[in-house]
Amino acid sequence: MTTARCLLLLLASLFGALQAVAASAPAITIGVLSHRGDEATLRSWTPTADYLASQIPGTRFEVRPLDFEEVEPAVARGEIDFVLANSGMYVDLEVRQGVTRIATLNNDHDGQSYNTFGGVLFTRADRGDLATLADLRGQRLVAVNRHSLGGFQMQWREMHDAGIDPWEDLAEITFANTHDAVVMQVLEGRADIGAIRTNILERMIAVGTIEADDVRIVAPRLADGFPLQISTRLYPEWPFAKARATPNELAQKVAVALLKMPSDHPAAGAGHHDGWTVPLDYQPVHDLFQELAIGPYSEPGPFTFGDVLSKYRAEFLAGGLMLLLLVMLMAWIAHLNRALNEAKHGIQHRFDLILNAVGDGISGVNKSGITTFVNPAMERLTGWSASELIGRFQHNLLHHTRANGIPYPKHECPVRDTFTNNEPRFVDDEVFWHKDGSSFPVEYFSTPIHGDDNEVLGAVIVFRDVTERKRAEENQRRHITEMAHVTRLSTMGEMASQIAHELNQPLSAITNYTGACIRRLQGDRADRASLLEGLQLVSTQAHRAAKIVRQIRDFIRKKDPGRGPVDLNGLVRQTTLLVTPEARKEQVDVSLDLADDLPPVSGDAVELEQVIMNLVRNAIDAVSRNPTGDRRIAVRSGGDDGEAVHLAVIDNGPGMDEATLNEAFTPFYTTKVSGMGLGLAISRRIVEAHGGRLWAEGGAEGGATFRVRLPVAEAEARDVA
Amino acid sequence: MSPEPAVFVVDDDAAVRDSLRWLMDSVGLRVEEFASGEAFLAEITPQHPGCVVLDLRMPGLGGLEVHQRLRDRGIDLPVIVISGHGDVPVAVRALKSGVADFIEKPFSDQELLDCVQQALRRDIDSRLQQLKREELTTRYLTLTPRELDVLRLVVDGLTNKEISATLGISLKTVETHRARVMEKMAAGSVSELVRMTLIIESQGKPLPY
Repeated sequence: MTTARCLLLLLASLFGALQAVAASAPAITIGVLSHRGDEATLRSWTPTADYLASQIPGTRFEVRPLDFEEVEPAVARGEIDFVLANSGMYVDLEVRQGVTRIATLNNDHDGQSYNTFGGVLFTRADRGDLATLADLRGQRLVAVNRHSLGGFQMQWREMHDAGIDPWEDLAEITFANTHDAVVMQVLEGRADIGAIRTNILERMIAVGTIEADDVRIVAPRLADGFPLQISTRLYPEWPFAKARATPNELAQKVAVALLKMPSDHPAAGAGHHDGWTVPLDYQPVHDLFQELAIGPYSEPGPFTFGDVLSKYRAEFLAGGLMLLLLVMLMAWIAHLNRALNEAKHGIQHRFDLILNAVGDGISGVNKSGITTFVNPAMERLTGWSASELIGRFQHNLLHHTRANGIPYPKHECPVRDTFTNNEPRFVDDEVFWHKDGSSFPVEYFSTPIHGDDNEVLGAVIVFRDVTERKRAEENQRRHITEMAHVTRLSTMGEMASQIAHELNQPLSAITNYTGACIRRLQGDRADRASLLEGLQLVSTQAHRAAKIVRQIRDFIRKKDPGRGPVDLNGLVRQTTLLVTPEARKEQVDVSLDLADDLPPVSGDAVELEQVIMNLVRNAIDAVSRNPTGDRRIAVRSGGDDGEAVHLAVIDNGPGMDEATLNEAFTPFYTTKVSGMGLGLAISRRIVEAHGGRLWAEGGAEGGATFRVRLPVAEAEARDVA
Repeated sequence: MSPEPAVFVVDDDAAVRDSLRWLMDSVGLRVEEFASGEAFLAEITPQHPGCVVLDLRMPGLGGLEVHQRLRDRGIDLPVIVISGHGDVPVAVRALKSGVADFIEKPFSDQELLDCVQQALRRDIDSRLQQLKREELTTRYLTLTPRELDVLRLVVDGLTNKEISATLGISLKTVETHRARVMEKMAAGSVSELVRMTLIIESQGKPLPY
């Protein structure tokens, strides 16, 4: 006795210790389909959990009620170690989640145990019109859940076999989620037909929730040895299954414990079952799923999507919004991307267009003068291909010789200066050499390229073949030359009689001197000294005549446009000599006021002389309208800051009104009776071709003043002079 | 200026002036040079004999203007105008205005010398004629009014009888006056008297009555 008590105490203390251990061990979770509500589930199955803990030392089990929609996600997430769900869900989980059944429930009814179950279709007792499956058409069905095997899918299979599509042929299908709710809805008349598993009605009647004659079974059928009312085929009862990750060792212990559970164990009583049996074959459930193409055999259809939509409305909405957002975001990104691409493409395109389409040759050289890039125009203009240019010393290919044929040393190359001085250069008087050995005149910019640290990396050369422009300039120049020549001839024509007079002066003098000498000789009154003097005088006059002839010839000669340093004062003196006869004829007083040390201008002496001639002759013409004795012309020259030279031809004639001032330079405009009216037009063109300006002003004394401004010759040109 | 006869050369071209002096000198003519018309006009007087060689074109006064001013001042020096080529209208105008000669450059020296010689002769002639006219006029002014009446009728070709009838005086009186006129005028014949009368009248001045 003492021994027994001691043992008991020991056992008790041991149990306590075990319990303490169990409490500290992580709980083993049994997920249970909560088809009759969470409270009922916990009440029914917590004893089983406690039983298992008691059977397996060092473990602790807890029940986690899951509704139909929560079961599979819980399994998938590994939150539960064992799962107790209806056979349909099991089959689904078996296929999808790899769960394995370890025992099948033995159900209990009136002291009998059954490990199979079925579905029931029922209606209110007063609905005598609903007897067979065919009567279901057009009725409102309430079922437990679309995943409920006994509460929907079994009945669906029977309807399917009877040719009824519940989704099409019934007026309405609603799901109440629990069997009890289904029963209540039918009884309350909110639905015509209810779908529940077997043994629900019997239990509700047994506890007095409903009366036996409140309900009537629709399409009842009989099964051998099955005592409960059914409307469908029978299927294996709920299995107890292990999750894929649950260790087999534990699963075996749980299986053994379950199978050992006596049918009268309080845990079995709480679960309204008779304990557990070896796991059954669930093929009938597979058949059902296959036939209805649901569960693991489901095909995508409106049913599935609609259902999911209704169940996961919020998630769908959120997901949809997310998706929409995502789509919008992606569209935006795509748009941005496209825009960026387009921009990039555009820039690239434009860049290419610019580089490819510009007529100017563009190339880059590094600090060693090696070509680094070229554009197509460069290839076209030079005849060298990009591959021939790139990587080679550019100066030696394109720039090796000057226009005059003298070698162009690379250390004098302006491109080289660009990056040694870090200053852009513009050159317009050099030639580049074509691959074929010819040269062409170019103008080019050479601009330094800077790196990130502002150090000079090389230079970009943008050049243009100016052959055409030079030719055009040459043509223009030649045109002016022709025009100038024609107008000079015309001027000479107008001046012919004056010039003849001018020539006649020395010729008359010569005639007189020679006549005098001859007479002295004839009269034998000639002494050597006077004869010599006479001959010297003749010679002087002959030279004078020759000089005039030379001036005329120089003036009308059609010269090649030749430029050189020109002394404007000298030109003025020479010109006034030529116009002297005319001035004398018109009795005009011409005075010269020429600055000393006037810097030379660069130009064509003949053409500039023509300009002065035109201006002076115009002035003579203008003042000849004055009374004699009041006809004055002044020609003045002066420097201007050493940059330009000024020449003014001032007359005291009647002056010009504004209209005449404006028209004066128009070709063929003339106020004279004779003359072509080209004088001022051609004069202006000549002056402008010399980089100068010619304009008219009202004079201070009421006459007119014509002013010429010409740039001073470059220092080098002057040295040549 | 010397009162000796001279060729007055007026030309703005020094070489032309000098060469003309040479040329005139070679034939023994004296030359007075002037660089402008103004300078010449400032010195010339009717008492200077000779001729003028004028350049048509000169600064200031031109040849024709100088000629005009000489005439305005009653200086009858023969004027030779030298012009350049192509001044035909001017030449016509010059000759109409009484210029003695118009020579175009280039001219031969002989041509000019001939012109100058002619002009000088003409000047001498005109001066002699002038002297004669002055002397005749002096004689003429000694005639009484009755003698002048008789002279005019004699020159008109009337006989003594007709004169007697016209003037209402006796034939005898006519003959006396006529003899006095011939004596006072130193006329050898009636025809000489007529010529004298023409010379006097050629002065263009109205004769006193």
